[in-house]
Amino acid sequence: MRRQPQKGWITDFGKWLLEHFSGSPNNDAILGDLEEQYARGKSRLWYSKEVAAAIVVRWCGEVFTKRILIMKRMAVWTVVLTATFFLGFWTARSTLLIPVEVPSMDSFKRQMEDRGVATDPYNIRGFLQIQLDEARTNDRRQRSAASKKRVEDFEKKLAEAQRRFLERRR
Amino acid sequence: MPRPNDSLSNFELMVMLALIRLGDEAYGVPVSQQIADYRGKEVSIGSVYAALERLSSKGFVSSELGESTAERGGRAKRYFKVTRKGLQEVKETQRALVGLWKGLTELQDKKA
Repeated sequence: MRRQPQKGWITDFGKWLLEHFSGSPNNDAILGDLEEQYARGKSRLWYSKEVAAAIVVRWCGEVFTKRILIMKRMAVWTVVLTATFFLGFWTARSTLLIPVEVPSMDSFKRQMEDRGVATDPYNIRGFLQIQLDEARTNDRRQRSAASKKRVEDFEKKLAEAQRRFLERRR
Repeated sequence: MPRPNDSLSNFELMVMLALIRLGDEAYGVPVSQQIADYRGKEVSIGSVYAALERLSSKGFVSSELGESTAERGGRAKRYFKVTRKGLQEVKETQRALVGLWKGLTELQDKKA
């Protein structure tokens, strides 16, 4: 039984499959042969099987002829991936790296308050404490009325700053 | 001396013999039919062409485009021919196989 050359979906689909997945230089001849046999009465199933076989055989042939190259690439990638994995594993477990703890916002606020930064942002008490220490050192050296007065001034200022700080904290 | 890759596989040898038998009319369809007739098993056209490509890269066969017909959807036939090198290889394979076959009583048909 002879059919007219089919322009149906099966031949179009077969052509598309062979063109995209086979890559054989004889694709045109294969398609011509398949259409010739199909026109002579072969079934759609036969046509589909032939197309699938042509693609599979072609791929197997490609893998076989390029087996050395494929094996080399697989070996290289195995080494690269294994090395990457172990490097990541070592980095994660390494004691050389100090873990950095990121404080929560609450604990950060608490720490700032304990240091007096939140209620005494310019650290006036710290500044006055340093000035007082210097004044006391001078007073020990000079033993003068002026140096003594300076010490007393700073003591008052520091006491005032401390009182304000505690008030603000409440 | 032929390189190891230049030797013929079982299927390639069948394809070569089919090409020699068919002469100037050897393209995918008759080659696969010829092999199927002798093997008693259907042979896919794709595998015939894959073997022909390998044989062509080894220099055992050459090919040329033939006429295109409406039956083939306007596509040209590709005719294959065994080259001198290919014929030499077939002869060498034949010599080796015949030599190996000779004297093997296990493979001889037993007559009643």
